Amino acid sequence: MSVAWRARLAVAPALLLVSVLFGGALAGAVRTSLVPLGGDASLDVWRALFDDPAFWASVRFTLRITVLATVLSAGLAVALTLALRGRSTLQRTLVALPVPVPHLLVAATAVLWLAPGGLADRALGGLPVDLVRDRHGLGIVLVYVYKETPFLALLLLAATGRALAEREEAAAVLGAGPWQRVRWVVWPTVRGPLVLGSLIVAAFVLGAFEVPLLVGPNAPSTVAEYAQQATTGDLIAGEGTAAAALLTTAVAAMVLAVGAVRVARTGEER
Amino acid sequence: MVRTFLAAAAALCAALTVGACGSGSEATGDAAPTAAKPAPSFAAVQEAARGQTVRWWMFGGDDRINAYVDEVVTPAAAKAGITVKRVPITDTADAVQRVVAERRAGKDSGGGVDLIWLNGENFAAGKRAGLWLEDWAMKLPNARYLDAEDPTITTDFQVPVDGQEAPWSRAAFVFAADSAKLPRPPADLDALLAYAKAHPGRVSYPAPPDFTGSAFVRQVLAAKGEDAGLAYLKTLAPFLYRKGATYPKSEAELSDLFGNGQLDIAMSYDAAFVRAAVRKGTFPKTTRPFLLGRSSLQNVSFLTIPANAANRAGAQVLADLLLSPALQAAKADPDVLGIPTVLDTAKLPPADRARFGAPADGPYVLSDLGKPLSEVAADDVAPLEARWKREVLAG
Repeated sequence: MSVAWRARLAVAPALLLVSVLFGGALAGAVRTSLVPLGGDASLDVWRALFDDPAFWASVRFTLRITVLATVLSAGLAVALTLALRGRSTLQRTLVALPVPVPHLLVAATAVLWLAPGGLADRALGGLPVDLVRDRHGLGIVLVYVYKETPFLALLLLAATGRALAEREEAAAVLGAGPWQRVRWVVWPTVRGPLVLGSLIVAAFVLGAFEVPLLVGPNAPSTVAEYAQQATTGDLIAGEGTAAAALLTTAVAAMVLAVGAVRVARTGEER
Repeated sequence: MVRTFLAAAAALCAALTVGACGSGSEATGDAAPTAAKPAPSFAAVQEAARGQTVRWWMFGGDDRINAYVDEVVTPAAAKAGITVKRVPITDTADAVQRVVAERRAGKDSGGGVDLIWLNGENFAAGKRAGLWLEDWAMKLPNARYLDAEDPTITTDFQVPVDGQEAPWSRAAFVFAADSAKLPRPPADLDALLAYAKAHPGRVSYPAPPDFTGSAFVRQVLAAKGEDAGLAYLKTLAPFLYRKGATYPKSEAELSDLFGNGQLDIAMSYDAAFVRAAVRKGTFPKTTRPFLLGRSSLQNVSFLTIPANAANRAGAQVLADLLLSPALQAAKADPDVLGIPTVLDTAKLPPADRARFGAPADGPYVLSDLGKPLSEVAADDVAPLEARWKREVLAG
């Protein structure tokens, strides 16, 4: 058996699980979005979805949160990596602490402290800025930045090991200044993992549901919240609307996933 | 990314998995299984119910109601040979969605939902889709104590009940204020606006589609008319908590703000909520309920049985039991729940009438709930909420 075939056989169980669970769910979602209860298949649900200004408001809101959270996390992660290079394991561990904390816990803690009627609100008699329930989704972005920055920093730190230090030394010997070393030695090393990690973060935030539900504004809502509200607004037809709305995020996340795989491949080839 | 898939999957895989196993029965026809058959006498229903476990899907967020079901209803049902399994849900829509998923999968019998506590949109949507068992509610023996002329009993958010659900609970929308701080709370909506103008940031209400917030908006619209009501809410907005830029997300959050002294007025669709909150210690002892404008939004909530339920007989017997004078009186007792009965006490035999005693009184419960304002049509609720979002929240 060739190496390629053995590799294919090795991933078969994982592939089977993913295609049955997620592929099946996606097929079910497509069916729900096309076939109403006791009716015939049609594109009505999709037409109504794309005609609903509230859906587009949710799309804009979701995209804004995704871009802001991803760009801020990526920028902070690069700064953190540069600051942490060569520091002790203890310091690196401390930075990584938020990674295993569930998003829900972070959001719930933010609500407990910062929400209207929360502990800080009561202690200070009103907060100067609304972080929780902010109309622009500031609180949502901050929760994701808090969670994803250490995640990205870990990816970057893994890429910046001893080999990088040696290459930097070599560059220094050849007369490169500190900025030149960052530009020509460090950046090319971290760019791959940074782009890959950012795509993962973006795909994750696109599906944001529990964090905006807890710390987000009354309106607008993210696409996942829109889907949830659709099912409570109209119990029968809402299911199709919810399925269609979630399928749009699923497709967007898959596009990002394909992008991430491509980035990872080019990284390997280099 | 895995989570995005999960978000899609979680909402929808139930429909699919049931679909995979139930597709064989789809060809057997889609008529509601029992709708056409003549109803057997109730004794036969009681006989069939013996030994059944009724899965009762109900909102699980109210500790007092849960305790009433577990401590009062369950033992009474056991005497009739029925086991009650309370399925707590955060939103009644979840139960309806479960039935929809089963029907979508062609599962016309043996369904997992036997009884649902609901009203309004949830009932109307299911009725439109033919989800409910038909023509059973008024055949319950205890239905003879109901006032068949009372529109709150015969219609549910203006949708005719048509024997597809049995009444269970009566709710009235009441407000509360701390009498130590506010001895004379606003008497009507205009006084509320004047109060908010004089005390900016001290009044708020939960944002629809929250249940309580949506009911408050409907109360305003019922009192003032749709356009004038929305205009009123728009005028009120800048004087609300945080200048109306943000609203509490739920009644619980509003109650927290009231309990902390950050807001001056609380509200609920539970006429006995002040009593419960004072007992829990979350509201000051000096809190008193009041009405805005000598009227209150009122509704009745019901029990319905999905046509495909596995234990339809048990569900009917349980619904009858819940309607019995004994259990209705226990529920109306302020020391148990303090929820007004749906029975017409004038129709009760004297011994049963005595169980209800005087109308609920004491400082924490209003004896007079004012003129009932009826609920809007079920189909109008979601558009109203959308309109509020567009014109008041965004405006």
